[in-house]
Amino acid sequence: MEVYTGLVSFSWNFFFQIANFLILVLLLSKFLFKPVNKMLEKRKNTIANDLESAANKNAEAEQLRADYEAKIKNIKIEADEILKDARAKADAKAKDIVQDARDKSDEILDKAQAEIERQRRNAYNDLKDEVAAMAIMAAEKIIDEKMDNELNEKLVVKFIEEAGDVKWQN
Amino acid sequence: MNTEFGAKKIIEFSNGVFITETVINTWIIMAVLVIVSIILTRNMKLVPEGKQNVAEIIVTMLTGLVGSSMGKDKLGFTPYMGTLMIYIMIANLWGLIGMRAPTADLNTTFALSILTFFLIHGFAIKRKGVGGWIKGQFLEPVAVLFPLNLISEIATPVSLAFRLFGNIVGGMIIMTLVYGALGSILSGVLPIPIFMLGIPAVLHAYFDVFAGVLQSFIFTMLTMVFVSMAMDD
Repeated sequence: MEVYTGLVSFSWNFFFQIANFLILVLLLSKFLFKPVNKMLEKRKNTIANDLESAANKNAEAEQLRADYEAKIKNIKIEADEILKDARAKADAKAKDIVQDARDKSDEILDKAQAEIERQRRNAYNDLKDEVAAMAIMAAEKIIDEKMDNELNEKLVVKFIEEAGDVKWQN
Repeated sequence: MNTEFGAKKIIEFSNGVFITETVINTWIIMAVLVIVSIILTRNMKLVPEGKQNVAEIIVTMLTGLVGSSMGKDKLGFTPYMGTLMIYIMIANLWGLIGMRAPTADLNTTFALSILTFFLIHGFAIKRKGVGGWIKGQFLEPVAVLFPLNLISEIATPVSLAFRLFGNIVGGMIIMTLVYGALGSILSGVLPIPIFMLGIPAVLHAYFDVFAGVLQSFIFTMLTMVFVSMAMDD
């Protein structure tokens, strides 16, 4: 029985080897190339997605920062305005109060002065009447002669007024 | 010493068809490659670790090789060309573990080169049509050269097959002769063939590792170049 084939000889093994190799291509394609390429593709997509989402988040954060900065600026302006308003209001109110007080005190002072003047005039008139009467009585007693009351009174009042004005003013 | 260099028949059917150790060894290589592939690509993660890196390096290296020598539009050939290179390389190195290399058999090398032949002409027709294929492959640069071009096209698979076969079978024969010679030195004096230790390793490194890896690369590169040349104008 022939165990060895010739070194340079063809046989059915040629077709077996073609089939074997094509089967090996299919098997390695399925078990080596496809899974690895799938994984590489997946990794590529993941990295691309991650980069994109990172860029989006960055942009979002930048937007938020700008928003907040604008808001803070607005708040500062608003606070300044409120403060200015409050200060102006307080100033106006203070002025009003002071003016009120001044008016009231002036009024009180005026009233007091008027009252004083009135009292003074009353007292003066009373005194004048009394002095006139007393003078007439004294004169009646001294000269013992009844004078025309009306004439006398005029004379005495004139006298007192001339004298009294100087005297009262002191 | 074995003086038969042909492949051993392992199974012989009654109708005369037989299966040689070439085919058996190819089955073993196929099983090893598929099992290794499954192990390498099992539990792949987005962040690669350990064995997954090996699988990714192999695939990306082969993809890069196909892309650079065939063009980016022909990356679809990667599984075929990659398998071709891996298979021929492992088959050439098969002699290192003491088994007959499947590529030291014309049935294997011709099977591969005939597939290359069909790829060349099949994809040329598919890409350029029958007219374009005849013009591109046989009538360039002038129609007078048709006979020479015809011989050239037939010579392509023949030269591919014999180049690989010759390199591997030559190494195998030389190694067999070297082992025989080293074993016969002082064979009557020494109890064991001490010269067979160490010395053949240097020759194995050249004939099996260097020539084997180089030939797998050459066969694959030529296949890629021929196919892409036939497809492009």
